[in-house]
Amino acid sequence: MMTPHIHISGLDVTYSTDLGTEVHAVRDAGLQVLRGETLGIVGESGSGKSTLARSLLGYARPGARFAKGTVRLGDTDVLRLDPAGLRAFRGGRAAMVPQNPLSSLTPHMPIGRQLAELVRLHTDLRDSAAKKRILWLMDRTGLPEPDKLLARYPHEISGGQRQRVVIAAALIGRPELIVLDEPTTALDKTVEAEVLQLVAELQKELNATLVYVSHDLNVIRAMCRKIAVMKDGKILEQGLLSRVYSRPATAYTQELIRAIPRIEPQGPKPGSRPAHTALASAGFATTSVSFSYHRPGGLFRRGPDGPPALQDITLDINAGETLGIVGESGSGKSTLAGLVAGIVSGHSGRITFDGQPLAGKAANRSKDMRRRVQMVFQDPLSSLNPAQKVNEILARPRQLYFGRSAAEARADSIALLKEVELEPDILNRSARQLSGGQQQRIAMCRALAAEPELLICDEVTSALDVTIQARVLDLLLRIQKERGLTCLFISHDLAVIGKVSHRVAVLQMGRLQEIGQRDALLNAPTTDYTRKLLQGHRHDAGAT
Amino acid sequence: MNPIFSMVLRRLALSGVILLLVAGIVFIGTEVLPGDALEATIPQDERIYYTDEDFDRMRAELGLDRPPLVRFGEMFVNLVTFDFGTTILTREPVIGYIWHPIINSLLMASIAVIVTPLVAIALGAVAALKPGGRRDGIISGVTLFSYSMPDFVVANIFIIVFALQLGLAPAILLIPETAPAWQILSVSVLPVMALIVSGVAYQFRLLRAGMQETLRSEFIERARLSGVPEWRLVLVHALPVALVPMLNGTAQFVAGIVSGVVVIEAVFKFPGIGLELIRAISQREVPTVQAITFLAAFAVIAGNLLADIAVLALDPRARRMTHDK
Amino acid sequence: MTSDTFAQFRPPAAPPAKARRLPLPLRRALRSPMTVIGLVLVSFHLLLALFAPVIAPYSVSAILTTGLTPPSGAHWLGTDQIGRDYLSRLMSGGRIALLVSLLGVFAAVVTGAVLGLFAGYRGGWLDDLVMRLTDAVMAVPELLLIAVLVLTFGKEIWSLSIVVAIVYTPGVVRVIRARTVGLAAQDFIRAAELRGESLPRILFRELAPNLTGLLAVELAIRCSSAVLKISALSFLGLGISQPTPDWGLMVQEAMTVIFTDPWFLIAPAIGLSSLVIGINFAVDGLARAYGVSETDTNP
Repeated sequence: MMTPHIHISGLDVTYSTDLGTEVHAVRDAGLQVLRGETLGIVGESGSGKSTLARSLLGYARPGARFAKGTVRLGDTDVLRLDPAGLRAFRGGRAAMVPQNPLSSLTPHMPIGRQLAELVRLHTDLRDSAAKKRILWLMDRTGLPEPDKLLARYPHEISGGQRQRVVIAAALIGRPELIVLDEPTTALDKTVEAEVLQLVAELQKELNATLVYVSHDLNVIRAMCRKIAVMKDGKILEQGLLSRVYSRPATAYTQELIRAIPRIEPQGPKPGSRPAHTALASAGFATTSVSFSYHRPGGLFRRGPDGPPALQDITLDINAGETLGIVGESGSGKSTLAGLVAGIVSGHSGRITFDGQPLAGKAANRSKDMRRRVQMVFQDPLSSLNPAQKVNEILARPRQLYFGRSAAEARADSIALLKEVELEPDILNRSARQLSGGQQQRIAMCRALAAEPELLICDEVTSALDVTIQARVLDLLLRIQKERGLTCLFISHDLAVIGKVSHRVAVLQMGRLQEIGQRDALLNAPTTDYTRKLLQGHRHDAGAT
Repeated sequence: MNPIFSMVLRRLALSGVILLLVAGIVFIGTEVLPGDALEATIPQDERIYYTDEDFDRMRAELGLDRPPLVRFGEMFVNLVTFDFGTTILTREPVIGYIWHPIINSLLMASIAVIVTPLVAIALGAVAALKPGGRRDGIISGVTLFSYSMPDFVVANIFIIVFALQLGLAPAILLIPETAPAWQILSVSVLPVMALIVSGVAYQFRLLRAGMQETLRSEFIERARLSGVPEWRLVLVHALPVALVPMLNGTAQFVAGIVSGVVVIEAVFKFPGIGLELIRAISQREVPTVQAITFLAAFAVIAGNLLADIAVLALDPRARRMTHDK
Repeated sequence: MTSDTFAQFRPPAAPPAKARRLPLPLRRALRSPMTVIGLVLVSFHLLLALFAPVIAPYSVSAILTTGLTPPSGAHWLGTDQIGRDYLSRLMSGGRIALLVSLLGVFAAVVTGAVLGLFAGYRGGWLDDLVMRLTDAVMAVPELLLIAVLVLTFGKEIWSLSIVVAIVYTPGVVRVIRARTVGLAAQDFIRAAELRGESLPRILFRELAPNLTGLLAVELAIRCSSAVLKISALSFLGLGISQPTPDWGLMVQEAMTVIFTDPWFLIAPAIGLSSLVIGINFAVDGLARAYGVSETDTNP
C-alpha cells in the first residue's frame, strides 16, 4: 500500500465556551487520502467538517485548539510546524479556498495587490515575472480583461469572478493540497457549475490532492471519488463514494442520501388539489405587477427609481394549488412574495385575492384580508423575535384575529405544535434556544395560527440542512393537503420546487420566463433559461 | 474621483446644515429660553438698580426688541462670517477678547489632535498582534483606567508628580496671553500630556473594538491561511478597516479635546480660550459665550468632515454607500 | 415520521429553570474580576451616597476648628480652610453629582430610546431631521453645552438634571437608532407588519424588548460621563457651589494648598475617580456579556 498523502489520526479539536467548559468540535478523527485523490467531507452545520478541513492547514479558529492527535501531509507533521514553517506551508504546499468570496478578499486592496502579495510570499518571482505569473493564473481561471480586473476592488466584480480570484490566489504556490470549504454556496447554480468544472481541471493539472467540504451531496458527488460523512464532530464513515452511495453503512448516511432533493419529473403528486370543491376557482389570487426599488435619495428627498425589479409579472394561483416560483438571486422572486404579502409596497398594476383587489401595504388591507394571506420567511432566526418566548410568538395571531384569551391561545398553540410535530414544552423557550428546523416549524405555526387561505413560502428551506429540509418539505406537503391551503412557494432550487408544486413559474431578472404544469415544464422546458437551470441540477446529480 | 468629489460636496452641504442648527441651539440656549441676552447678562440681584425704562432702552440699543427670528438670522450670518459683534455691557469687540486665547489654545490642541491618534494606533497595533495576550490585557486595562480618570484629576496628578516631586515643569503657568508661539509651546508639555491621556483612551478603545471585529473577519482568515505574516495581517490588511470606527468617532474625539482644553487650561492657568470661556460665563457675557461655543462646534464639524474624507480614502466600499452611515 | 425522530436534532438541553439563578449574560459577566471590582465600587458609592449623612461623624457645614488642620484622632482627614470636617464632606461629595446624573441620564435614556426607535423604524425625512438635530447638539462639546445651559437654567438639582437630560439625549438617540435600523430589517418585523400591528406595538412590544442590554449599557456609560462632566463643571466654578460639598469643587479648593497639603486634593480625586472607574469597569463587563461592542455605542 502506498503511503497516504494526508494522514490524520486521533485528532481532537476543542474550543472553550463562555462559561469555561470545553466542547469538542472534532472528536477522534482519522483520515487517509492518497496523493492526487479527491475527498469530499460532507456533513450538516455544526458537524465539524470545516474545523477538520482547516486543521489540514494547521489552523484552528480563535478560541479553538488541537487537543490531541496528528495531522500529516506527506512527511510533514503539520501541527508541529513553527510559525515560520507554518507560513511557508500555508499558501505554499497547502491552499484553502474559503466559502464566501466577497468577505474573503481584503476590501480595501485592489485584486492585483492581493495576488502580488502572495506571489512575493510563495515564489521567487519578482516584477515582470511575477506579473506574468498573475496574468497566466487569471487566464487559467477564466478571468477576462486581466489588466482592468487587477485594478478593481473586490466589491466591484461579480460573485463568480471573486470566486475565481480566490481560486487563482490559492494556486499561486502550486499547492499539493487544495482544501475547498463550500466554495460555491454563495453562487447561483449556473455559475456554480462553471466554477466546479474549473476546480476539477486545475486539480488534475497540478496532480493535487483535493479536499472538498460541503453540505451538498450533489456537489460532492460531482467532484470527488472518496467521501467522509461527519456528524457531531465525528467521522461516521468514509470510503469510495460509489460504495457509500450504494451501501451506506449508517442510518444517518442513508437518511442524508435520501434527503437530497432531486428533480423527478414523474415524481409523486404533491398534495392532491381539491379541484372539485366549492373553494376551487381559477385565479383565486392573481397578480399583474411591475415594481422598482427607489435609489437612496438626498437629504430630504426620495431618490429616483432604480432598474425595475419586476416587469409586468402576470400570474394566477388557483385555490388549493401550490404555485412554485423559481429563479436565481436578483430574479425578483422575493420581491414578488413581499408584494403579495403586503410588506413591500409601491408597485404598479394590481393584485387580487378571492375576487377583491389587495391594497399594496398590509396596513391598508382589512384585518380579515391580512389574516387570510400569511407568509413564512427565508431565515427562520430572523423571522422570530429573539426577545419573545415561543408562546408569545404563537399566541399573538390567535389573540389578534380571533380574540382568544391567553389560556385559549396557549391551548391552540399546543394543537398547532402537534400539527408540526413539536412538543408543547417548546412554548417556554426563546427562538435562539431552538435548532434551525424547530425555528422554521415555529414560523410555520405562526402563519398557520391565523388560519390562512394563501400561504406564501419564501425560500423557507434554504437556510436548513438537507435532512431537516426534507422533513420540513414533507411537513409542508402534508399540511397543505390537510388544510387545502393555496401556496405560493418560492425557491432558487428547482428540485425543491419540483417536489412541492403543481405548477411552476420561472423568473429571470424580473421577467416571467415561462409558467406551466410541473411535469410539462420539467420534462420539456420551452426556454433556454429553464433548460440552463435544469442543466445546473443535472450537473450536480453527476453521471451515475 | 468624480463620485468621491460629489460625496465630499454633499458632506460639506450637510455640515452647513448642521452649523445652522448649532447656531439655533446656541441661540436658544443663551437668548430665548428664560429671557434674553440682557437678562442673562444682568443677574437677578442686580436688576434692582435698573428701571423698566432702562431695560427697554438697552434692549432697543442692542436690537433685542426685534422678533427672535430676525435676531437669529442676524446672529447666524454674523457667526458664519466670523463677525462676533461686541459685548453687551462694555461694548468692546468680542474678537479682541478671544483672538489671542484662540491662537494659544489652537497651538496646544493641535499637538494633541495630531499626537493622540498616532499613540492610539501604535497601541492598537501592539495590542492586536496578540489579542488576549498579556500586552493586550495591560494596555486595555490601563486605557480603561485612564479613560475613567477625570481630566482635571489627571492634570493635577501631573502637577504633583512632574512639578512638585520631580521639579521638571512649572506647576502654574505665568505667561501673558500675547506671548510668542514658541514660548506658549514650551510651557505646553504638561497640558498637552494631560490632554492626550483621555483622548488616547477613547480612540484606543474604538480602534481595539474595530480591530477585534476585523481580525475575526473572513478576509483575515483567508490571508492567514495563505501564509501572510502576522504583522502584515495587522498593519496592511486589518488596520485600514479597523480604523473606520475610530474615525467615525472623530466628532466625539474633537469635542472631548475641546472640553479637555477648557478644564486643563483652568488647572494650569494656561492663557487660552478655555480660561476666556470660564471668564465670559462667570461674567455672563453672552456674545463671547456664543462666539466660543460656535467656534468649538465649528472645530468639531470640521474635524468630522476630515474624518469622513479619510474613511472614503481608506474604504473603497464607503464610496459606493451614499446613504447615511 | 414521529416526533421522536426529531429528538436527536435538539440542541443541548437548556439547564432546567431551577438551576438558573441569574440571567446568563450576568453570570458570564461575573466571571471577570474587573467586572466584580466595578460592581463592588458602584455598590459602595451608591450606599455611601444614600447613607453619608447618617454615618458621617460630623455635619458637612459645621465649623469645628479655625482653619485648615492636619489629620487627627478627632478629624481623620483633618479640617478644611473654613474648619469643617474633611472626612464628612468627602463622604457626601458625590451625592449631588450622582443624583443629578442618575435623574438626567434616566430621562435622556427614556427620551432617547423613544426617539431612536421611532426614527430608526420609520426612516425617511423624520429620521433625517432627528439625525441632523442630534448631529448639531453633539457638535457642541458636552462640557460647553452643559456650561451654557446651566447659565440659562440655573444650578438647582432639577435644572442640572434637565441640562444633563438635554445634553445626553442625542447620543442615546443615535445608539438606539442604529440598533433599531438593524432590527427593523429583520423578518420578525415584516411578520408584525403583515399582521397589521400598530406602530406603538411594533416599537414597544416587538423592537424595544431587544434593546434591554444596550439600554442598560447606555444608562451606565452616560452616567459615568455625566458624573465626570458635572464634577468638571464644579471644578471650573460654574456648577455646584459652596457650601454644598462636591468632589470637583473640593479639588479646585485644594489646588491652593497643593504645595503644602496635597492630601486635600488627592482624597476627593480618589473619591471621584473610584466612582467613575467603578461604573466603567462594571459597564465593560456588562457590555461584553450582552454582546454590546464599543462600535455599538459610538455609531
